[in-house]
Amino acid sequence: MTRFLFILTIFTLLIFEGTVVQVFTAGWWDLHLTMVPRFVVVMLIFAALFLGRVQGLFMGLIFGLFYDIIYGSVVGIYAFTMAIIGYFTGLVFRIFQQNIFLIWLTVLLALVAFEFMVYGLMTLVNVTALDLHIFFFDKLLPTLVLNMIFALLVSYPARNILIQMRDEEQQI
Amino acid sequence: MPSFFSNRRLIVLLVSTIVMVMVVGVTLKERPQPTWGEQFIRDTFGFFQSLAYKPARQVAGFFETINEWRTLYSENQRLKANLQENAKLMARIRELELENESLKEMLEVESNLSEYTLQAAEVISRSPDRWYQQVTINRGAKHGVEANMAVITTEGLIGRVKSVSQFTSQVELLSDVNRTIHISAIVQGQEHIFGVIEGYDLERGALLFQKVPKDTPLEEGQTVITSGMGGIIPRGLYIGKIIEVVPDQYDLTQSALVEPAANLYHLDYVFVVERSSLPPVDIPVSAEDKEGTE
Repeated sequence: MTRFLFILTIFTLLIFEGTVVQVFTAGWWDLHLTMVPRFVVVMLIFAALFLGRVQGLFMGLIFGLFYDIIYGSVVGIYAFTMAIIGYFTGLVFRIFQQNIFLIWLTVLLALVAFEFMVYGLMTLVNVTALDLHIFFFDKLLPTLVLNMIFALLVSYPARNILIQMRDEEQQI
Repeated sequence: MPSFFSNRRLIVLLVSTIVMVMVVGVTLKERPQPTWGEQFIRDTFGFFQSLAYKPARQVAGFFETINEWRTLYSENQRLKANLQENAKLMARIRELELENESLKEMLEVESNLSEYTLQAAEVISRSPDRWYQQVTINRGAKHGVEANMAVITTEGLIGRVKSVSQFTSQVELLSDVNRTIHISAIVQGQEHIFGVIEGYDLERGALLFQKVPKDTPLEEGQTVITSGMGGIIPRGLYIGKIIEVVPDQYDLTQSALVEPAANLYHLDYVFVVERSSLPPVDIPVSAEDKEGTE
């Protein structure tokens, strides 16, 4: 039950990223600063931190696939990167989840790695031709600010829900 | 901590990388009709997206209205002045249209490059990562939308239909760098200057209008419209104005930066342009004219 609600939340966030958030960010920042909402990725990192690498891998694969199909046209880029992020954050799950600051640090590092991987792949397949320094200052930094605020806001509720979820599943 | 690269994991990682490269390679090409699975997922999500987008836009619109109250008076004055000018122009256009029609009748021209019908559509989502500059609209194959149709707002051209599902379709905006389809365009000057719009300058926020012969008189402020030569896009859709003229790399041709007239960030209602008369039959041109142009 908790798992179902959690997954439903992620899907709602997936829809919100492209609709509600766009209404409030699209017109204000012209081309120069782009804040990309990565709420789904933030939730995925939380999930991987508390549920382990295998679940992180599969959740990343599935949500990435949905992201690819709905918001992109090339299938595979987000599925691959999200799966990798889910797997590698899942590797540190026993160590880092004790301390909330370490969780935030993990989210930050994973987001940076994720953005760079997506940027690299998008450049590789010629979807974009953005310079590295423009990407770094105009896109990566605003994106990190937006998503770290989101991560701070949801970290406590997400931790409680995920710990409850893990306990429920261990009982069964 | 478990070891990162045991033998088995390394193999799994390699295999999945290869699978990703394959899937990306297969889906990288132009796909006007996605597979039924993708269409189903896009349509389903499109339904929920349209539910979420409308209230959000209304809230945003409310705040904008408050913002606009401050500038209302001066804007009103300016618009009133414009209105008079408009009435004059309308009368003139009507006159020219009538003249044009009668002349065409005399020449027995049947097909018209600039005839089209509009279909209103609503934007229901936008790709949040700005790598793909695309929006989703709530009209699809069931409503007669086809790939490569032009999409406009009341301000001007914004892009083309990229892929069509049953009830939604994805529109590629002009600001997408990776446009594989070039737009054939005309600069309206003393005489028409033909060229091709290919690419977008991200830093300037302007389209690149290229392949213009070197000695043609391009100027800042000239109007650029579609030419209707490319096939599916009709003639006469407003694209924007030239903001800068630059010589080409090899100094053989010149190119211009064209600022799109439509605001590509505030999109809510758009129109899909359906061309009424498809393949253009050859318009009778007399021998003199052929020699005269060029």
